[in-house]
Amino acid sequence: MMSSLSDSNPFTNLSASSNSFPTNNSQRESFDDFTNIEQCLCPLCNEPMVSISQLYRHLSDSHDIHLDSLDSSTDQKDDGFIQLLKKAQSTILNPLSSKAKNIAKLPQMAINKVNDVDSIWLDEQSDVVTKIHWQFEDDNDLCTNSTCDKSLNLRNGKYNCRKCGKLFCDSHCRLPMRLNRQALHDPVEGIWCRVCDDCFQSREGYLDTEGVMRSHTTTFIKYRTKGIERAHLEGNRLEKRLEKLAKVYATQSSPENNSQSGLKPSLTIMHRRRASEQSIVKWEDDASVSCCPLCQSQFGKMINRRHHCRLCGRVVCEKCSSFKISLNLTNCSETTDNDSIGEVRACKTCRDAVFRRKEYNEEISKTPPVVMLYQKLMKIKTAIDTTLPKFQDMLIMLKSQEIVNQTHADYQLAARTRKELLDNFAQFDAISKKINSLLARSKTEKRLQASIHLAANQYLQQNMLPLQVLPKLLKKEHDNDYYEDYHDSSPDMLLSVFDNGRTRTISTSSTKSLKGEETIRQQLAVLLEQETLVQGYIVDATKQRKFDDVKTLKTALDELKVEINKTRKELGTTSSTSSSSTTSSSTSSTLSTSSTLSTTSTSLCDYDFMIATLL
Amino acid sequence: MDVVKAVQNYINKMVNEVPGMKVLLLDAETTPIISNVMTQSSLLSHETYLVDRIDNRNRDRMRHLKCICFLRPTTDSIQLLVEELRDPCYGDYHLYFSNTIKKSSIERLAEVDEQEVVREVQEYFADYCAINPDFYSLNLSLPQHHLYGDSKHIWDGKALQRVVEGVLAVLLSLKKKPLIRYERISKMAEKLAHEYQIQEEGPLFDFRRTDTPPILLILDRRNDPVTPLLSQWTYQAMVHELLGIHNGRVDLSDVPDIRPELKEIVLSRDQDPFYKKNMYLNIGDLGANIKSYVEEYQSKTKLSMNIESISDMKRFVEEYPEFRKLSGNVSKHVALASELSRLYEKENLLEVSELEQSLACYEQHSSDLKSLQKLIESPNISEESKIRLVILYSLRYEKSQSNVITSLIDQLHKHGLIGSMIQYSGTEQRQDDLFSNESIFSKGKSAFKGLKGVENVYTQHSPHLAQTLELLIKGKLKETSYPFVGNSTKDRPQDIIVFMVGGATYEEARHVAQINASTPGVRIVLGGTTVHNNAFYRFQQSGSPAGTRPPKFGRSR
Repeated sequence: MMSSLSDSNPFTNLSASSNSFPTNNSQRESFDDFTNIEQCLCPLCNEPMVSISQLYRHLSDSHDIHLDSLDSSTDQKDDGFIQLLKKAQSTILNPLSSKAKNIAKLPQMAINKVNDVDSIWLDEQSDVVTKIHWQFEDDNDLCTNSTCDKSLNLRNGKYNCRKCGKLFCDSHCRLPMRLNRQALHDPVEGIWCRVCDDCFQSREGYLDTEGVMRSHTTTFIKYRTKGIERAHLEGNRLEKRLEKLAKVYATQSSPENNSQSGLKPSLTIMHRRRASEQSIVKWEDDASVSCCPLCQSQFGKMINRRHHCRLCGRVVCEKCSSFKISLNLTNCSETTDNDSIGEVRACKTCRDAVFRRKEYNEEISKTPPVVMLYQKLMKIKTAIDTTLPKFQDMLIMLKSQEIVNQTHADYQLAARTRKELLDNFAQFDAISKKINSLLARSKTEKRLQASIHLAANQYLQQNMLPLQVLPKLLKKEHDNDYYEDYHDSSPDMLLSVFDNGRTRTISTSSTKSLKGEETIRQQLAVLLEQETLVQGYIVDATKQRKFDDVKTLKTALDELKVEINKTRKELGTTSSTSSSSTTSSSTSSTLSTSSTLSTTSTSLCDYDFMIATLL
Repeated sequence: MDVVKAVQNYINKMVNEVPGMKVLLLDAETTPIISNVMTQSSLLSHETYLVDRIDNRNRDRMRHLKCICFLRPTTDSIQLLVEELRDPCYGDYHLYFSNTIKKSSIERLAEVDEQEVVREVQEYFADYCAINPDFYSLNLSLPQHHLYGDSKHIWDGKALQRVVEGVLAVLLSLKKKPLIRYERISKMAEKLAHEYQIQEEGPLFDFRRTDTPPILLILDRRNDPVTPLLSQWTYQAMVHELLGIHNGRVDLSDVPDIRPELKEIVLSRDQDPFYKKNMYLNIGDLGANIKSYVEEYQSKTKLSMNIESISDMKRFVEEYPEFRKLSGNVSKHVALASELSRLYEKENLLEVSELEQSLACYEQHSSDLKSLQKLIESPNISEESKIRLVILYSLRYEKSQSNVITSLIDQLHKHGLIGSMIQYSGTEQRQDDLFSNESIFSKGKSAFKGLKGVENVYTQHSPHLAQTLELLIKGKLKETSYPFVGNSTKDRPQDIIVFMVGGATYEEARHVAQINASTPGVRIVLGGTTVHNNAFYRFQQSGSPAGTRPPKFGRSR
């Protein structure tokens, strides 16, 4: 096939018409000659061609002959010419064709001139991706991006996000992302398409903040079980030895105790004992060890003498074998103190091997007071954490239905929940204070307790302070009038408005004496609460040497005191009238709920004080 | 691509997974990692009541506590942990390592855990200090860490190991398996790049495919020696330049008449919205913002002065805690800014900076030389500023026929430093035409650059990094100067991780933040072996032998 093609090589025709080539003219000249050819014919259909490039195109379009295959089939010797042609073609044609492309693009470029070249590059390729899901265009479309409500027109641009299909302005739909034919994200095979910000960011894993983690726990445990078994065996072996030693001691010491009570065991007994000790474990030869295997200190004749561990038989120094294990008959490692019948010398390693696990378990089983209290603290915390959102929901509900009637069942339920919460907070605080005041055995313990206290305070501050605002919400009704007034009134106006407000409450109190007294009581409670709070702040501010603040706070405190005195006086007058009046059952129930409110709000003040000192 | 969040996520995971009273045990290298991103109160809220160092051998036994160990798996830390497990102080142990741990180390630890206290062994790759969401550092600074081996082109073995591990951790924590590009002329960058290629294989790097592979770009400080030498004018950079930010903390104890509570302050983006808003602003805008901040505070004070009714009172009491927080923050920033401006005035930095910028941005030898001579003779300019100017001068006019570098050096009697600077980062060591003065074409370009309107005389210079990144984003960074290691791509990158051998600067961090904000779809994270301020930078370049003391972080006062 190839060879037949090469017979009808189109360039045989060409080279014939450009006679000069085979001769030994310079390459440059022959090239010039060649390019000067006005006309050539297609070797297959004899169609006239204007230029060689047209011939190329014609060949590949009409006859499906590609130059590449021709190249490979032609012989090397007349290849030089074709190589030259190719070079010429690539140098001359390529810049031209790319220029032509650019020219075609120019109008589009002009439109997108403000943009990057990105978008052009993106538009070109996205034709293959499905468009069925595209939002239909309209005359007054707006950009779908929520932060942008530009109308979509020629100036702002109008683009469908290739993924979600919605319409966007140019600036909100220009991010590149790979999509497959079904317009789904395909990072491997997909084609680059322009998509909107949302689609770009909602790619799986794009906003992931979770890094790689690798667990070695199973490997660790595998290794550990191996070691643990060995350690267990070793421990058991030593315990057995200890038991044997105890038996030996028991048999030897009991008659001795009877015969020569109180005296030192005689040399023979020592000797016998040593022999029996050595029968349990073989003692290491003194001469073979020159220094202690544990602390590496040199042994001497007098100073640093050799000792034998009765459990493993090794030679160790005095310091490393000063751990006397007391012996008893029952089970030597269960308990440490009861009916000991003697002590044996053991080295550090053996002692640890025998006792470490036991001590650890003992320590774990003891729960220090901190832990007990802490568990309580956490219990209350979980209780609060479950009720708090419920209470919030209740409030929202109350607010939305505008229930202000204090006798309403929902209202009372909310009040009860609030009380419950406050009680819990009070308990929480009490326990955290108790933890802080616990006697600490060490500095670290003190630090631990202080930290728990601090964390508890942080928690209160976050969760209780917002709660403090809530009673206002509940009693919003009667605060409302002047509360809203003063926000947009000048300071001069303010006083008068306030006075009006108060006189109004006072006047109502005189007519409806019972209710009036209640309001004043509440007011007083609030005032007292404020007073303690402000005093706390003053102490604090002085500590921090913020004298500006102190000044402000002091004036506030003075005013408060005046106000408290006033209210107290009023209360004195009204209470006398109220005592005579009869109480209906319905009003008394109101009273109880609202009085719980006021008492709880006074109890609030000391947390606030504490929190304030914290800040 | 948020390094702060990535590290926070790891740490939250640690403290969340174990319920109950906990102690957090750290080593010398993990302490700064944690303190950069976590606050005491956030640890407390996760029941982590104690924080201690594993090298503190005098810890009390508290068996009722659970222990979370977050350690770098160095031989030292492993040894300390072995000792700890042999005689455990706490009840349960949950071990987290900030990098890959050797099998032999696991074996050693398992062997000593006879009491079976270890509950968990994990690798969490939070092995770097996250400073900003797009800026991290490996905190490899002298005198503890030597970056260079025998010559300034060769890695110190330990440092290389640390850097490889550090950047590997960055990649793993961000879940990126990048293609690697490096600065061709830098031997150190090349070495590092090849190390990664080896490391990147294996199951750890088995991530979801991305549209276009992320790029790890490894650069060398020596290609842009200028940026760390310039006086800075943006908030974060300025504070670091003049006072030094060390793990999010600034030491103000040397400031005259400072209040005791401001001796050491914390600058945290998360906790301090004012700082977050203003950290990249220049001193002029910052001044205006501080002024309005103070005014806001004052108006609030005034409002609280005007307590005329119970409801006012009530409101005041409720707002007081918030108010006090604000007042603390206001006084912090005011103190900081006034100290900055005092230092600037004291050292005549405005004048110095003007010349610095001119040296960094424009080619005008005679006028530069004139002003340089003037400043060198001036008694009001600190010695350090003079040296800095001469270094800048010698870097720019190194190849100029008429330069007078030697006579300037003689004038300053500080021969060694300037010479070693040129040796470190002279024209021979740089691959890009940093000053645009090496060919007639780039000279023209720089002249053209000069025509552009400049907003501020003191912030004209834009670091070389900005230009490199711009080219990279557009897919125009030349492969001949920044070759790939292994696979390559022609796609425009969307996620870029930059690592600067020899340290990055806050100015560069600011530019990266700007690029991130202005180019949607592109995310860049910058990091370096350390964060420079110029006192520290010059110390590093002077190649002082081990044993000499480093300058105090920040400038002497």
